[in-house]
Amino acid sequence: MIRETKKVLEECKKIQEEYFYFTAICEEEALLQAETANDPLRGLFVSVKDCLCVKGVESAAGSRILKGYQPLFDATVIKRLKDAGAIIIGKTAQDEFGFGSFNTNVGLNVPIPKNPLDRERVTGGSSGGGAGLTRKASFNHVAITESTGGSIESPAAFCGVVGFCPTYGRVSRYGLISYADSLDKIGIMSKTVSEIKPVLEIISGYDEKDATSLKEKVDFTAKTGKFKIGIIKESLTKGVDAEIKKKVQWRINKLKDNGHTVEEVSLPITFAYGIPAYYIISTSEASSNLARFCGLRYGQESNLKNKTFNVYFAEIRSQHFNEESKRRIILGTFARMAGYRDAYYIKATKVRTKIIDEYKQLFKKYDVLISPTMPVVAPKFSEVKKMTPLENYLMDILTVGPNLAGIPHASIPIGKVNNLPVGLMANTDHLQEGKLLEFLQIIEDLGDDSP
Amino acid sequence: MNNNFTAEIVIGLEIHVQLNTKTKLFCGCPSQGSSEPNTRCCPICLGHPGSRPVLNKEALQLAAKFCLAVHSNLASQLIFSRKSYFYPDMSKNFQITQFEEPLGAGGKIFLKSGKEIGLIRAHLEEDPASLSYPLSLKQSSYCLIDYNRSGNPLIEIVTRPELASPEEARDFLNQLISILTYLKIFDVNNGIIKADANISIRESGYIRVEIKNITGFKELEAALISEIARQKQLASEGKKIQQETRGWDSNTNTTHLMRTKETEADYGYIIEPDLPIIDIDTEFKEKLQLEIPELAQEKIKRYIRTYQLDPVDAEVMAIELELAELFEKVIAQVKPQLAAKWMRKELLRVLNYNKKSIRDLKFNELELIELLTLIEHHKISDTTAQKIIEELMVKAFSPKEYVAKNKLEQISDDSELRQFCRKIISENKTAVEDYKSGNEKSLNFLVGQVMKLSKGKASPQMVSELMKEIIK
Amino acid sequence: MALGLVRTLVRFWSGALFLPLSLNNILNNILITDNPMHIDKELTKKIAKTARLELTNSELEQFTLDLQEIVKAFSVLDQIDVAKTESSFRPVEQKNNLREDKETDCLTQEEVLKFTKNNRDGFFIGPKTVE
Repeated sequence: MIRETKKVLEECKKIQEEYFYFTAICEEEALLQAETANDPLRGLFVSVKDCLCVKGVESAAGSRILKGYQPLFDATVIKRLKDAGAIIIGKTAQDEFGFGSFNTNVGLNVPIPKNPLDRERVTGGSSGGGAGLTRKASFNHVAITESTGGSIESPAAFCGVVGFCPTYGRVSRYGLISYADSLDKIGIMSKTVSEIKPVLEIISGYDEKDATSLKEKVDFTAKTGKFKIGIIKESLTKGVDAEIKKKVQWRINKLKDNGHTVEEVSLPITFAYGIPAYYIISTSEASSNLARFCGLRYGQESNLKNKTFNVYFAEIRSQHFNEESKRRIILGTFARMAGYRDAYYIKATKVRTKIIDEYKQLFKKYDVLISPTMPVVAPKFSEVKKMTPLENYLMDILTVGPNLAGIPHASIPIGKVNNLPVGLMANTDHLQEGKLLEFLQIIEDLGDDSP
Repeated sequence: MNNNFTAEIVIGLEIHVQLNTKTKLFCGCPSQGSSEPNTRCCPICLGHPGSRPVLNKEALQLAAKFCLAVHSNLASQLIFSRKSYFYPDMSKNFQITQFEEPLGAGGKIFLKSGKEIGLIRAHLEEDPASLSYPLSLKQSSYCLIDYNRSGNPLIEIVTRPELASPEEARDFLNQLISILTYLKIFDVNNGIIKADANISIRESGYIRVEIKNITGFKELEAALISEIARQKQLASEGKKIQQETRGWDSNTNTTHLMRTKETEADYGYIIEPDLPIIDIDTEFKEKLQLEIPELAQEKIKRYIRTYQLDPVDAEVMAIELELAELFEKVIAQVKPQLAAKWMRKELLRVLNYNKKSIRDLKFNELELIELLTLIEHHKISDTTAQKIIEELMVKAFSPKEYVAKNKLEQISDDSELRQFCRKIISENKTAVEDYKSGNEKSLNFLVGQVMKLSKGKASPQMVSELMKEIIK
Repeated sequence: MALGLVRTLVRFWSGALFLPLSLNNILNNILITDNPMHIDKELTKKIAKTARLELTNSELEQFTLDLQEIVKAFSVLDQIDVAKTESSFRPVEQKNNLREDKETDCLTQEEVLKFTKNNRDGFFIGPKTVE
């Protein structure tokens, strides 16, 4: 394993020079793990999104405010992967604290990762490094990443890889540097569908250190046979690239040919109110999660004698948070302030109930719901620069629904448009990861219609 | 809340009590132990990124027991909130507490006088870290932070503003501590109680001032007295009292301004997303209810009713659990009224003198029963009894054996004493005549003569009674 | 081009919900005088202070505009009736996960203090707490 590991590390360094997918390459740790690698994941190399704590390795959620912070403990998923014999090769780039859909909101002075198929374009975010690396790596690799509002599926679609996000609570969040605790979910990216399940089985399951982790049995076997599929009509409206819609339609036709049922379904509440509900809840939680970063105990600090605490805290925070972090802190602080809290934070949590209900109603009838993952292919950096914050946020229009509802969802590559990857998103009901994997395999087996 | 105050002084209290659990509220660090700074910490109570809280079951049970004991309405679901504010003692710059719905709503505690003090709420929350300063608070250019206390489990109890004086406040705290120790949810030796007080006076139109961070009940009374004096002074000078927050400084015995209401932080409450809902069902409530023992107030009533104890004796016997338990064991063999009077007068005297508590006693009910039995049957004098209890503070021994060994036994045999009495009566006819004509002092003289004759061994009380009887 | 599509999407999303204002104005960052939420620089300053952020003048202006745009768009929430709806604070509720009152390992004092130079005699050094 050691020789193989050395080769892998070399390749990582080369990829890093061109694409900036890593925030840290764990050479020492990887070689140490290689010495004792065991089953069942022996031979698998794993990259880890920077927001997951790896003991002794810089874990900063992509932010300068945590630069150099090396946790004293492994996140539970990391421990489980190490125990199963996987080798952690490095931490991958992300939007700072998960705040972004393009991975352009990197921490201060951090290079922006580039799309593996076109270096003038974004990887998608916030798990851009993981997605890009999954695409580029020639070795046996999966990326452990995280989604709050679409951060697994969005870069998976833009980079042309599989991005799988399980039910909320399925995977322990102990050791995950929080964005929004009622929305964060740890998931997996890989080149093909079959690589997901063995890793999912290892990282899933109750953890007493995470009080929200589910006690449900970890069993991903499913034999649905013929699927009843709902195609979400709001995802095929104006504003979604016509070529992308064509790719989706091709799959729909093929599925019908193969005996599956495909009907149009509607999620009016999700599409009308999902974006505001998501951004209000997630920034409310995030703004309180980020309060701890104030130059005490860990992370960036400076000389504080003779400074009063408010002055010192504001200094450190203002210097080291990037623009988007500040923006979301402001939005989130606003949404839960006295006088606004009822109209925003509380209301958003009630809207969330309605959105969850909307999905649950559909799942009474349908096995899986599908839509394009993203309305466009990966935009150019120059285009993203011209977008307003609101336009940025609206990029999540197709992904916030399943994230708010906490249902398992995934993006699977369905060919290319203008030589850029396109993703199909599939969602199933809570705890139906097995069914979702089964469906993804069907889609993968359909092949591609691209020339 | 009813704001139609009429009392001269209006006081409400917010009390933080450290729950007697082994570990902290949301992590497994010991809540007591080493006082070396920062040695009882983990990523959770330090607020390290990626850490998350998990609720201590025992803390919930103790807090719920308290709520039941004071007749609060227990919530059907336990929900936690994040209260955001920035301060160097906050490991996350938010405190996990309960805002939306407290664990217990309402409730009441009775003062010694029988007055009912209503409670508004009781809820669970975590303690921040402890701050100290190299020089005085104002002079230091930095603070020192110790996270040993960070995350300790607290119950916050908020009273209605129904206390009418510092004495009532002190008694309230006394009654509260009795309940807490009876329920074994507060460790009197090691636990910490802190109080914030809201005080207003009639003269100012009841403008409320908050006093923060008072530790212990002596400090509470002193702080209240000081603040009421300050307010009355201002009012008498015709000055307006500001609605503000003041800190108590026990060194100078004064309150000083901390902040005015306008600058109070916006706490931006959200529900704590990392803590799932906990169901509090009937089964849980019933099980806890069974664990609640007879509390002090009920014992006092029972002691008066069943044993005809003097109310003051009853209160002293009941208020501290260990003393009540000792008392109840003793009265299985000894007359309750005698036991209560003697324990209150002599046992507590000796404990206070030695600055010890019931917990420190080296003897138990067996020795005490022996001693009290000797007293009950007039076998030893008061002085002997006092000596014995003083010696028992040092080590346990059998009072009966001690009396026998040192020949301290009084003569209490009826016929022997009568013999002495008749002898003295026959030798002191003048004194007897004096007594018969109303001179009480003559009786004392006669009793004194019997004491001399018996070489001090007669029981003076018995002799006195017999003398009176024979002379008639 | 992606940007054009995004703008169409935004227009469609807001148009479908009958937002009373011209979205073009918002997209072109024109200050909206008719501002029912009273979001102005004073409010942004207050929020920043609560969040312990010290904003530069240009940040203050930019964030105020951003907040106005976002809040305006999010005012679509006025159109949904949730009077009879309960809140969901998590999408999946695993109730009653508690912990026994048992001691677990603590960090050593050295480990606790290792991330900061601001420490002395086992304590963390923190900033002044009085003005």
